[in-house]
Amino acid sequence: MQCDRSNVLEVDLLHQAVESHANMRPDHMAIDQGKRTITYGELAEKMHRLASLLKSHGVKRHDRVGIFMGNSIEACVGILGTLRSDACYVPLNPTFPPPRLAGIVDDAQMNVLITVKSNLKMIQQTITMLEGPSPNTIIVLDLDDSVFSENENLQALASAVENVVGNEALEKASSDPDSSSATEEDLAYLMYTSGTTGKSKGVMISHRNVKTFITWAVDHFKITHVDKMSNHSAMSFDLSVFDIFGAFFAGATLVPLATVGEQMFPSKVIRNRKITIWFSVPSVISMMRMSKQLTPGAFSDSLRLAIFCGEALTPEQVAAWKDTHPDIPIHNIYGPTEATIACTHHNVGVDSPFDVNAPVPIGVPCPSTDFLILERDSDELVADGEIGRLMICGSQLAAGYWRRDDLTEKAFRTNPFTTDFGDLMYESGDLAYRDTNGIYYCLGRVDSQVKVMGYRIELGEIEVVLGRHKNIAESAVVCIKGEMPTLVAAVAIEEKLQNEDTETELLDHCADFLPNYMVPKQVKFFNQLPKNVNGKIDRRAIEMQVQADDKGISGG
Amino acid sequence: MTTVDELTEFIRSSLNLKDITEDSGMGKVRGWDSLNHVSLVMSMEEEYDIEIPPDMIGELTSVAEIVEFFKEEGAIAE
Repeated sequence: MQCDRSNVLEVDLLHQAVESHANMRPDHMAIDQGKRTITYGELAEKMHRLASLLKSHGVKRHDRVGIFMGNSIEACVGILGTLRSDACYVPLNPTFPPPRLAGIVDDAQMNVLITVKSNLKMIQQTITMLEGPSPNTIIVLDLDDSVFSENENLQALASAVENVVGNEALEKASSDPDSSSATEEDLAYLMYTSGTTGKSKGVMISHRNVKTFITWAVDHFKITHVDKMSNHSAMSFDLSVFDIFGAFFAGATLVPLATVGEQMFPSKVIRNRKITIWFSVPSVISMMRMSKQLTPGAFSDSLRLAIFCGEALTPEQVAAWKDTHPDIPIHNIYGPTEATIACTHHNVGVDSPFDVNAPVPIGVPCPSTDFLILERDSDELVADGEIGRLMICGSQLAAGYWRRDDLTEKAFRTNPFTTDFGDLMYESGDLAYRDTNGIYYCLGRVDSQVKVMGYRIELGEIEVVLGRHKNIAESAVVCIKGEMPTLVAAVAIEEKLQNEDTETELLDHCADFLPNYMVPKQVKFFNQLPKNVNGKIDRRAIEMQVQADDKGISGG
Repeated sequence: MTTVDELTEFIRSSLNLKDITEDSGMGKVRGWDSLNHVSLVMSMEEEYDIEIPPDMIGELTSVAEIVEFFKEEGAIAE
């Protein structure tokens, strides 16, 4: 089989990869969702019809279109149709609470949402919480128009939105839309990430940004049409962009883990659907180990490669993998959303000795990326081996934050050292060092951002939500490290309210405004939060008290 | 073949729960979370020689739903 560079497609725009493969291998399976599958030919046709439909509903170049769905064939159709209509997609994760989704719809100023029937109630709730105008069109990809009048959620929605469009209109739409007028500098997606002020911010990523990473990755990992690529990460997390376009650039088959059960039991999906490349956050290794799914040779029939990204890959996780699958290589890749999916790579290797006491490197920058490490309190370069602030340069850098020039200017600054990799450097907020072999290591955050299951979380954003609760005088959220990091809310509250009912009430309050992964798992009550000498909340003291309490429980 | 009572007791002992009722379910009782739910699914598959499809695993999250699934599969004597 050919695995050389000639397998890497050259296209201007992301969705053109699907058009190319639909011409080359129309009957090859593009997406395998278990009970349902779709070929490249069918996928391209649906993409074209959806693009025509979107255009007929007024979508034009540079518009933002919401993809209000979980991972599925329909979500991919939605993304591709949006790009084919010259617009940019904005993932709206249906498991997020309506106020958060409404904030994104308002901020991105979306006129059109694409969804499936099962999310109509959530959309209805989201729309009632909008501050700005409602989207005027909702396209429901699996809606049979004849049952329109029987669906209560639809009727409610129809009163709030000008057009609710079903499958019939899609079937009738032209499969030959006008050619694209977009260029590779047009935005492909807006990805919303946690912000310190309690409002999430949209990272603007262009077709060119994504192509730069994907063409490198398809070549580097030798992804070809015979591969089956996992799609574990939610669409609202940019790891999913590698899944989707890694598969579509290579003409491979994408395997979405569409249900909660599949998410809980990845080992079954890998075996049953013969996944060849696994890509996810490393927490999945811990989850599989703790639920006894990681048994020796469990994936050896099909899997040829496992790639991890999104949070620190720990030596324990690598060891757990190597113990059970010594023959399947494991790669660590690193990069913030602002530098498009990932911009470093490190092959942990199958033959090389592995030291469980040494940190796993993030490796070396991808060819179109360069790193600078600056001193913590000045913009001076540090020497190799010294820890400093990691700055990222190169062609994977985002165009900035949507409608937030203030934040963009702060994070994307002029690179004073060299312009070989563009004029800008992005302040990643991570601490890192480079060893004498040129290998980079990431040591965590400069600020209070933490990661749970790969999701970026600004602890301040959770504190803002807690602060809205009427009974809370003061709060701080800490992240207790462990095999699975746990968020704990430390809350100063009247002594008579320090009980289990209040804990439940506070956690429910958080769940009303925050996605599940941001809701603390536990509340610790204080009469007053511990403070340091400067009068600031002493997070370290809180962490120590929580850990001491936990030991007390498990020991007693 | 098993019975509703046997299956319920199997679930209780697998999850190491004190008490169990038809309504007991993941997230509702202490000790039944998503991690040991996966272990429970694996041990039921082994014990009863039954295959639970991955897309069902997230739906079979209470005693009642598991019993119903076993009935549909013909693995419980009526």
